[in-house]
Order: sequence, then structure tokens, then C-alpha cells
Amino acid sequence: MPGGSEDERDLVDRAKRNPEAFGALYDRYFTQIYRFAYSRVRDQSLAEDLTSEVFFKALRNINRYTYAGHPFSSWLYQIALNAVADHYRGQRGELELEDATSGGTPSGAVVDEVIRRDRSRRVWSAIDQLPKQQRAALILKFAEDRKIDDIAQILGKSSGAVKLLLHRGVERLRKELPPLEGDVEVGFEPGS
Amino acid sequence: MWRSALNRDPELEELFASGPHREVVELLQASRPAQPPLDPYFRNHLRMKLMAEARRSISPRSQPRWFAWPRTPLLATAAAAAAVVLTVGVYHALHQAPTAVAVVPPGIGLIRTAEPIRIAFTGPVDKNAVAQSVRIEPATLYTTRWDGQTLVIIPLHPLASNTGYTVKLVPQTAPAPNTVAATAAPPVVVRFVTTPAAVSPVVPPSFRSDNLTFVGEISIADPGAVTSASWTPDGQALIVTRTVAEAVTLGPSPSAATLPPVVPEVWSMTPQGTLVRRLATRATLPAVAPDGRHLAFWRQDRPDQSSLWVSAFEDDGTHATQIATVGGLPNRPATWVGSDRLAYGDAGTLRLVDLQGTPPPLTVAITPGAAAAAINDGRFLATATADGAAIFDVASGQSKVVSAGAATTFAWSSDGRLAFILSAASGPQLWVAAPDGLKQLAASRSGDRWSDISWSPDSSSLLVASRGASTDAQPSAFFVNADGSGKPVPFAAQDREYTTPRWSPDGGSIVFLRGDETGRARLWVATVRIGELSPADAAQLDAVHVVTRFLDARQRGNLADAQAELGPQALATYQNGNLPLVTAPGDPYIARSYVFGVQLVSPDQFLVTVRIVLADPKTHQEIQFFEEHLTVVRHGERFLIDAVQPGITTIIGQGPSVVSVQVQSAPPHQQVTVKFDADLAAATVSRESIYLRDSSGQRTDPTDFQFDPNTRTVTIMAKLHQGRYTLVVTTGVTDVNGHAAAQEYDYTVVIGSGND
Repeated sequence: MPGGSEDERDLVDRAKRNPEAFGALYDRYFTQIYRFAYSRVRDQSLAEDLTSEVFFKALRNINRYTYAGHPFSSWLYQIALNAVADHYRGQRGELELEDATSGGTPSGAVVDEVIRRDRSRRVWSAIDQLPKQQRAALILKFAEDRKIDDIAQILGKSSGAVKLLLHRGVERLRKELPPLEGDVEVGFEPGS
Repeated sequence: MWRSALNRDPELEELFASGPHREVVELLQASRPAQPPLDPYFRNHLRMKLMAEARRSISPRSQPRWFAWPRTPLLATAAAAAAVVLTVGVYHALHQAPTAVAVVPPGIGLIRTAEPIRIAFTGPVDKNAVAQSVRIEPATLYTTRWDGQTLVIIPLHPLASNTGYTVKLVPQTAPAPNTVAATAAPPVVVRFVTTPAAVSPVVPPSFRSDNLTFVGEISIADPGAVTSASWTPDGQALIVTRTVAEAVTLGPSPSAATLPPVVPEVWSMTPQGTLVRRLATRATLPAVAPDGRHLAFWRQDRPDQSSLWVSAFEDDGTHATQIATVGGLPNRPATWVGSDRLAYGDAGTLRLVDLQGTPPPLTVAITPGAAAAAINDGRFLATATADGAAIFDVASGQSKVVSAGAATTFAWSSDGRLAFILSAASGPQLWVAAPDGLKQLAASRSGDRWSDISWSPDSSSLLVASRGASTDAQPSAFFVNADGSGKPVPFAAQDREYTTPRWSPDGGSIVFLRGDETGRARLWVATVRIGELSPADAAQLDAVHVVTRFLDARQRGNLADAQAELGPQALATYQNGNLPLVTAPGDPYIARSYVFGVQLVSPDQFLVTVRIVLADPKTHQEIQFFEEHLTVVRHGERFLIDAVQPGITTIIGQGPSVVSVQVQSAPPHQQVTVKFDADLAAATVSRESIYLRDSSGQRTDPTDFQFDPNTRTVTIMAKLHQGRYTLVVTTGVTDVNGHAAAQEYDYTVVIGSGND
């Protein structure tokens, strides 16, 4: 489904001429971009810096933005992705996920909750070990709920390529994730 | 148990059919990252910086129109702000937990709206951390600066009247080892209430010369401290040029140091003389854009060269953009042409330039050093040419000479007339050009020199600065009617000096310079009284006086005094138990109350809405307010409260609130002005989120809808007929922190016979 409502396109057009309209765009997309930045760096101060960079770059380049069937936010994500990549160029961020997962709210025994939290932590940690493109695709899909078409536009790839990235990423996570206890078959030697 | 999560996304379901994949996908979906920690003040701060940059880099363009005289715009009014410096607390913050020792308690003293908030510290603190820990409710955009150990919090716009504010210093992070403990201290909370707003007159005042009376004048700056002053477009502040000693680095021999050079700076200042904020350094001849968003100023680069700069008004000049260069030092500020272009004289040429420094294709040959003035919307520019006083259509370049002769000063009225002074051989002449012709208003036969024309807010008269023919004659000033009627009326005493007088946008004050015995100029502000009250305004004052007595009695808990202001019907309404007149001991008590809005129903009847604020009896914090609509009717010689209708009840601290509603007749329309307490997210303010509906519940299409973020004011123009309407402010309106009001706000608008 093509993204970007008429209302949004009108707002973007006005933002090219009217500072107040740009402010409205900021109000509309700040939360998404900040959340995306934070999900990538897990550091509030750094996320603030990156968010600031994204919107200033958007402001400076808004006249170059043209609607191509995707929401304006896809363009902002593109800028954010580049900003994150620039940040990590030559520097590897330490991601501390201990407190960064909210998890579902499964009731049950404490031990189940501990196991679930542990696996959550592992799976999100594992995402950060994925190749860059796979990582970005998974975050946009699972943390930002973006459509595959939008992700394709953000990453500059085809929808098919994004599906492949998601598939490979999930497959790799599956391999990284230790099996649940119930899934492990332990053999006993009779009589041992 | 997490299978349902996957089912929400068909794309994922299609992609990951296999069991092992599904387990990972479900885990990812169910354990997605929590909402990140977000400092709402970062969001605001970034928005401010972006908007400053956006206003610098994106210039809105008005559509050029054919050369035609403008229609009469509606009169805009602005209230003058009062001022008092507030010192709210003192911190002990050196290697120990800071303690507030002098916090203004709630309910003591009313704080004026245009003032910065100052928090003094007894020792060194982590200034960045402390400045970043500021929180203001209702949501308020602000900047901070430090005066030594005093944190100065400067709201970007004057605070709202009649509003309880909470300023907090909230530590954000634990202090690093070996640093001062300021940011780890318990939060400091300061609460204060701003001054009430004046009740607007029913009938717009007339500023005709015979209706104006000089009341008094006060000096608001030390001799020599300020060298020029003008009003901001909203009339809330002054823009002044002052000279300060420039910081210098001493050479190897400090004893040989000479006095540091002085440099001019541009500051904003309250009309009471408090310096608020530095707007630009090494700057002079400032000019604020009509929309109040940008400041233009000149800097002298070398003795033979100056440059024109522009900066966002919120900025301190450090992000200013140089947009033009001229030889020498100009003798006057650049002229704003609309709010996105500037005109400036460059020898014998008047040039236009936009905010990026791009010169539009219009240059005008002018008398060297000539003045220029642009009409409010920037379509026309008046200046002096070799042919005389001329008006240029900025879009087309087409010109029209309105008068031959040497014109020296120009000023456009709010309704599109041009006043100018001609230097005739016999002396100066004051002329007004209008689409229907040219009229001479006054002429001097004594060789005086006239300058500095200011129009009254209603365009009915002008203030003109004058200096006698003799070299030692004192400059003075006079009023003259714009229609040529009557004689010029001297302003105040003619033996006193009034140099460069500037009439405030609300017409109530005049700022001017006057030399003292040492020859240095002082900055003064004079107060002007606007004539006698109209019968309707006098009646309104009487009605409001009754209501004020009624509210005071209720606040004091004096039932008998409160009942004395009530007619039988209203008394019955309060006595039947539906509405309490006074509060019971132990219940939330009336902390304050005020007249929220007054509507003229007929010459002898007003609908007065009052807001009553309740405070918690234990904490004394304001927790709730409710409104009552009082019908106040003349009974013989006095007014009584005849009827009462309960209004909205609201918990304080839940998003933006309306602080006043004003309904004025602006034939053939009605103008409804709604003021808010919080800085609003502009994108949420629209005809859909704030509207009028008639008694049948149908929305009324406004003929105009304006939002001014500087004054947090929405102005709705609509053709309303006699009857009742409801102003609706929906919960779609949010403050700059994204918070919406907890409930819709409704206000009854009555269009009576008195509004016709």
C-alpha cells in the first residue's frame, strides 16, 4: 500500500516554504525517530544527539525530498539509519539490554519469567550481532512495525531483498538462541 | 501463549511459517524494546533550535499582488506587561545537598508576566546540569542564562495572566564523583501566580488627540545605559541598544591595561526597565520583524564598512546570518518589508534582500540617507526619491509619487495610510496619503524640525516629535488627528525633552529618550490615559465591580456580604444547594478567583464568567478550578447578579487550559479571542480543534482563524447573529510537551443587542 497520506504530503510541501509546517512535521515524527535511534544505541544522550542530527539534516535537505509513494517517515528513517551508521563507523557501541526489554506479560512461575527474560535479552543482543542490513531490517520490522515495502524504501532495496534479510536474520537468531530446556533431549545410559 | 502476537502481522505470518522461526519471531514481538526514556524538555529544546534554524533558512513568501491599495485590516490590540523581578530561591550547593531557603510561598505576591525567573545559588554548581533540570508547568518554552551564580529562566513569550505556575529543578542523573551535588539534590519546587489581566473595554477606545491625556513618566534606565529603544510588535517588551564594556584579554603587562572598549549590544527589556535577554552583540540599529520572529541589526566591520545581520528572535545573536554589506555606518535600522525581506539604504540606492541574503530584483534610486517604511504586509514601500515621496509596489516595482518635495520620515498606519513629513522652505509639513487623496495635517511656520511619526493603534491620530528652531530648543512632541480635524495637542510639558518617542502598540505608553544635566540620555516611559469612559464601559466597570466584591466575599467566607450582591433568582440557585457560595472548613478552599470574561448582552446587562480556583487545605497547592456564568443586570442605580449558571470544572495540571475568552464586536463580524496558559503545539491548533457552534449544535464557519504562538492566542472571526453560541476547545489541542487537556472546554458566547 503506498504510504503517506495526502495530508502528510501537503504538510511536507508546506514545510518547504513554511517553518511552522516543518515544526508540525517534527511534532508528528519526533517520537518515532527518537525511539528508533534509542533502539539502535540504547543510550539516551546518544539517542538525543542522533535525533537532533536527523531533524537538522531533514531541515537542510527538505527541498530535495520528493514524494515517491512512501511515507515521509521512511525518509527520516533513512537519515537516521545513516546517522547511526556514521556514529558506529570506527566505534562499536556497547548495548546494555538488561533493562531495555519490556516483554509481554505472561503470567506463570517466576522461573518461566526468568527464562523468558533471559531469552528476550539474548535475542535482542543477538540482533546487534547481525550484519548491518539484517539488523536494520529486523529493528524496523519488529521494533518499529514498518511494512516491508517501507523498509525496502528505507534500505534502498527491493521488497524481496528485505524479506530475504528478515528471513536470514531470524534464521541466524534461531541458531544463536540456545534451545529451551524442554527442547533438549537428554539421553541416559541404561543402568548408569 | 505468544502465538497471538504473530497473528497480528500477516507479512510475518507469511514469511515465517516454520515452527523454529515462529518461536524467534514471537519472542521478538513479545519482548520488543520498552519505550525509551524521553526527556520532554529535550523534545522542546530541539524543537526550539529547529524552529530557529527553520525560520532562518525557510522564508515564507507572500503572493505578489497587483498594485492596489490595501483593505482595512482589523485593529489588533495588545496588553502592556507589568514587571517585577522574582528571586525565588537560594541554593546551598557546594559539596552538600542544596537547600531552598527563600522560596516564594504560594499566594504571596502576584508575579508579573513579562519577567524572567531568577534562582540564586550560594556557591558554584554544575551550571549545565542545573539549567537542564528546569521544568515549568503549564508547558512553557524558555531559555536560560547565568548571571554569576544566579540561574535566569527566560520564558520565550510572556507568561499567561491569572495563571498558577510551577517551576521545578528536577535532578536528572546522579552526580559524577567529585562534582558538586546540585543535580543530585531533592527537587526544588517554586509556585507562583501571575498578575490578573485587565478587563478589556467593551467599546474600543478612541485615540483622537482630544481624548489623550498625559498621566506621568518614569525613567527606566540609568543615564547613558540605553541609546535607543523601540517596542516589540506585541508591545510586551522594548528592544534597546546599550553599550557595554567589551571583555578583553590583558597583555603581558596587566598594569598597562587601559579601559576596555565599549561595544553596542541589543537587548530586550521590560517596559519597567528590567533587562531580559541579550539578542545580539556588537550590534546596533535593531529592527524586529512584524511577526516578531526575527531581529535585524547592523554591525560595523571596519570604519568604512558595515554589515546587515538577521537572527531568530529566540537566539542570542550567535547564530545570526550576514545578509548584506554597505560602506560606512548606516544612519537608521533596516526596514522590514513583510517579515521575510529587508530594505536598506546603500548610498543612493534602496536595496531589498531576503533572509538568505538573496536580493530580489528591486532596487530603487533614493535620496542618499533617505528613510523608508513598509506597509504591514510588505506589499508597498515608501521612501524619498529625487521626484519626491514615492510608494513602490514591491512585487512589480511599479511606483507612484504621492508628493513632490523632500520627504524625511514615513510611517504606515494599520489601515494602510501613509504619513510623511515634507521639508518645505517655510518649515516642516505633516501629510497623510490615502487611496482617496492627500491631506496636509499640520505645518510649522516657525522653522521647527519634525521627526519620528508614530500612529495610534486605531489609526485615528499621530504622535510627532518636534524640536524648536533654535539650537538649544528642547525636543518635544504633539498629537494630531489623522483626519486633519482639531489642532495639534502638545504631549505633556513642552519644556521637557521627548526625543525619538515611540507609541506602544496598545497606545497606553510612550517610550522616549531625554538628556540629563550631564548630557547623557536616559530612557523614559510615559503613560497616556485614553479619554473618558464610554457609557457601556462605565456600566461594564460597575458590573465587574459588583462581581469582584461578590468573589472577595466568598473567598473571605463571608456569606452575608456575598449574598448582598445577589438578586432573588441567583440567591435561590445558591441556596438550593446546587452551588456552594463558600467552602466548608476542611474542604478545598478558594485560593483565588478572577473575572474570566465579560460579554455585553445589552447596555444594562452583562454576562460575566468567573473562574474560582480551589486549593488543598493541607498542601495549599491549587488543585482545581470551576467556572460560573453570572448574569449581571442593572437594577435602578446599581447592578445585581440576577442569575447564575454553573460552568466547567477542571483539575489543574492536566494539559493546556484556556485562561481567558474575549468577545468583541468587529462589524460585520464578531471577534472571539481565546488565550491559553501553555505554549501549544501549533499543529494541533486548527479550525477543527477550536470552533464555535450555534444553539442547534451546528459548527459556524469562521471567516478567519489565526493562532499567535507568541501570545498563545487564537483569534476567530465569524459572522454571528444575535443568540447563544458555544466556543469549543477540543482535547485535540496539546501543549508543546504533547499533553492534551483532560476534557473538552466549552464557553458560552452571547451575542446580544449590545453587540450590534
